[in-house]
Amino acid sequence: MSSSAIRALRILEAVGEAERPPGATEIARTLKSTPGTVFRGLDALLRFGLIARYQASAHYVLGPTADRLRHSLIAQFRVREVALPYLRQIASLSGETTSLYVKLGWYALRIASVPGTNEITNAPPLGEAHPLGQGYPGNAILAFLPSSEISAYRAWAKRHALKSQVSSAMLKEIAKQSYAFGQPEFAGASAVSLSIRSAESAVASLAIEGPVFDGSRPAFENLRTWREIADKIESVLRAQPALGLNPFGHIDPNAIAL
Amino acid sequence: MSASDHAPRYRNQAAQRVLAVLGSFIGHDGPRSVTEIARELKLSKNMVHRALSTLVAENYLARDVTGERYQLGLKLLSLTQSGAAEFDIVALARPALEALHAVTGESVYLSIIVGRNRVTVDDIQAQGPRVLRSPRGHPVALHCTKMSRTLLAHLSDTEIDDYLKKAAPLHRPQRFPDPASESAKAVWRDIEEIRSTPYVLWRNPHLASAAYAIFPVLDETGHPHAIVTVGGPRERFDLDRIKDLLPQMRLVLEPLERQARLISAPPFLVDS
Repeated sequence: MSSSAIRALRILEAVGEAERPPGATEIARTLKSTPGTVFRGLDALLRFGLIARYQASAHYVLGPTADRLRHSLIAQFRVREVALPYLRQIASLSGETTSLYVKLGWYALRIASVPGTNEITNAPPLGEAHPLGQGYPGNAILAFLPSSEISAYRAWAKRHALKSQVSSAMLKEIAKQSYAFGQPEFAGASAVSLSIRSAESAVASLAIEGPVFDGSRPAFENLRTWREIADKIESVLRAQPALGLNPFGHIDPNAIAL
Repeated sequence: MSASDHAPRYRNQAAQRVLAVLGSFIGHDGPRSVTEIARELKLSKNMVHRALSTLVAENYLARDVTGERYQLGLKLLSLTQSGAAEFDIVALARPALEALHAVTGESVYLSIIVGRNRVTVDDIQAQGPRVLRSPRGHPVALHCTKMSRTLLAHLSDTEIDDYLKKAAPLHRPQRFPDPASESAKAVWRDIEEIRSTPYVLWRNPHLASAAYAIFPVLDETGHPHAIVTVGGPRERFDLDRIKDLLPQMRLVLEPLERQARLISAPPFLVDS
């Protein structure tokens, strides 16, 4: 393996992980390397567009190539292109940011997000991941997995000492209703997530990431409309099952750490 | 770009090769083979193989389901700092919608294809008398209404045929008669007419006082991202007035049209 290549990749990761755009000296300190070595790595990364200078300074941020690689990775989930127009429809109906999560290993990974039309909306990053048992988008997927997979997830969560896991009773309730609620955030209203199934198992969930459900009758009517829209995505996946395939489905979920 | 294009300044060839191999995965939906990458980068298979091994070990790449090809790896998910926004037609089109409303004073709508329907996803409503509101988020079948057919017209012939077969028997959920939506033949006739012009000027014969200008927003291949519609009561926004305002409206839409061409429109995917 090329040590200079690995050094360049470490520099790339250091730039990506830094809270503020770092300079060469700071990166060298973080990686316990010399500024000369870091400069050579930065030069290579700059040439490939993996990093860019921050406002023409001697500080660095991730570059357009890093974004394009990440987008190419996310585009491997074909369910994204199926779901995007429907996410736009729900975002325009609900006014809230609407996202698509897929199951990746034992995580729910956000792979698409359409901003809402309300004055204040959420702008969540793509690529964000949470264990399936933590948070309503993951819960809406977990509830529709076969019981053997739910047990395997629970064993994995236990090995990693993950807290705040959804209870079995709650999963049954979610499976019955086919939607999961987030914590009430504003005026007692919660965000909502709806499962997207293909071949009897959940492959994704669709999350309306703002306070949209307050238990009122109109809120239930909205929920029914959104469920109908989610059903349309499922019917496309039924007609073309290849679109629901997980490009990382061949990897042991226990081996995936995000 | 071949790996040698980066050679003049940077001394470390091995790092350069590894980064070039990583970059060669951009824009590829599926897994890639050693041979394919070696040919593209003009490198030996051995060199490519070594670079791939480094990238797999570091999780930037992964082996595909066959174990013989390579796909992008999960490490890339952690590269999120720059926070590049998703291509969002609503955000992209909003300035144009506001400018069109300022130029015309009329209602402006942005509509996209969702499944087999046209759905309005953003709008600005005119003050006072205005055209019948096309509510946000509500679906209208792609063969019904001139607005829907303007989206339909920019799909490929095969996609339109497929849609018309699946949508049969064609029906009109609208309150007002729309002869062009009543048969596949009539839809095709209207599509030919729509395709013959870069935009559609339309006076609805059934709504006594409504006229529209409909502008498709297309990608490089001519597939539709969306349509932008400006509509108003005929007493102040008849076709003559629209024609007067056309140069200004088209100027307003130019930046949106230019940017939209850079991104592929979403594929037309409908259920069976």
